[in-house]
Amino acid sequence: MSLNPATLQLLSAYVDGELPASDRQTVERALAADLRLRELEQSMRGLGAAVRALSEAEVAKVDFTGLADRVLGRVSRRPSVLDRFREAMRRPWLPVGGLVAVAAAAFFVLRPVEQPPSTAGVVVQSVTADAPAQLQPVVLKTESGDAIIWLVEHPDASGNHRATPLPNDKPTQAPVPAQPQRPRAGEL
Amino acid sequence: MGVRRDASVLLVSFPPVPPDDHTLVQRARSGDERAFRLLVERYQKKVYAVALGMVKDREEAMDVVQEAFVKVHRSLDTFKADATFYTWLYRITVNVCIDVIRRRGAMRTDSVEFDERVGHDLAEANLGAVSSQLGSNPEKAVLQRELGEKIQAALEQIPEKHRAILLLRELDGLSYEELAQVLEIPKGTVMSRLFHARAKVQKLLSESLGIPLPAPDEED
Repeated sequence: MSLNPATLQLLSAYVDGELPASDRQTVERALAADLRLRELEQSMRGLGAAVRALSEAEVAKVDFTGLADRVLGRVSRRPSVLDRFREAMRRPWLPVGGLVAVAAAAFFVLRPVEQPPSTAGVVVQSVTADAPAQLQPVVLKTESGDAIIWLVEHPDASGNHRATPLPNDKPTQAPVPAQPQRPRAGEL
Repeated sequence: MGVRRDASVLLVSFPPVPPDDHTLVQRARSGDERAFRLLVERYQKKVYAVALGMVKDREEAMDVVQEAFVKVHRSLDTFKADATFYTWLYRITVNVCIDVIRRRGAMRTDSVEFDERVGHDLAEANLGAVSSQLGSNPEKAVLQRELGEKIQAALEQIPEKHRAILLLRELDGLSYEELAQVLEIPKGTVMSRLFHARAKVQKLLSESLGIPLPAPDEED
């Protein structure tokens, strides 16, 4: 029997007592005939015994008193605030991430929201135009950038509401309808 | 067994037979803390030994033991009656160990280059000296601090999967069938993995003990 990996694998299983009878006899015949195989067998058995002895020596140093209590304590109680804090400290990104999320949410909730221009308080009392009057929009811009658009007759016959014409004297916001509908009272 | 001879009566008392694992699991499932405590006390040393061999740190090993038993308790309802309690327990333990090792970033799966030559190297190595130190009187040998340290160092250098199977086999004597269940691998893989684990440790020991590897036989 040569010392190839297949043989050594059989030897390993032989040491563990896991070989069927036929293979066991084969290995035993080889062991009887080969000194190196016997040395390997001894070495495998010796390694196992050494690992066990080392482990037993380590385990003997440990006091297991109270281990069962600690396990049962962990499974039977709800985690306390302190335990949850400790758990959180094991994974510090959790509370930090939570704080960041809360701060972000607060920012979006509490930030000043830019309101769209409101027409609250602005009511068109009446708009009249004599037919066949032409209506022309007049755009006024406030300091805040809001725009107020008036529709005025052009030319203003009364002269009371004549608006200053735009620089180019042409409407730029919207085309003037050919037959404009008059806004009704209450609408803008 | 205690025997007390009286004037006319012979009293024979037998120590109580401890309940088997399945009985304790059933009782623990129904909320019997004492039953679960018995399970912990029955296996705590074995679990610790495996954990220590895997994580190589006493405190972490104790944490692993606690965590493994907590997981066992929380999963009692999923334990199958046809399974063996300790193979289930060891599977959980090994998984917790692997989690610990991965968490601390100390995976050493590639720490020892492996190839089929390991088997040849082992075959060609002059293992007479190793076997004389390990095989003839291992208990005496491991008392030698240096040799103990070298064995531990060798165990640390092999990949986790090899360390786990070697520890479960050598410390707890699990059969190949049980090892296959614990590690969730085919039985044939158990046989080869265990051989390779041994081969690596023996090769490392052979090197650390200063035993030169002879040239391959010409006849091979």
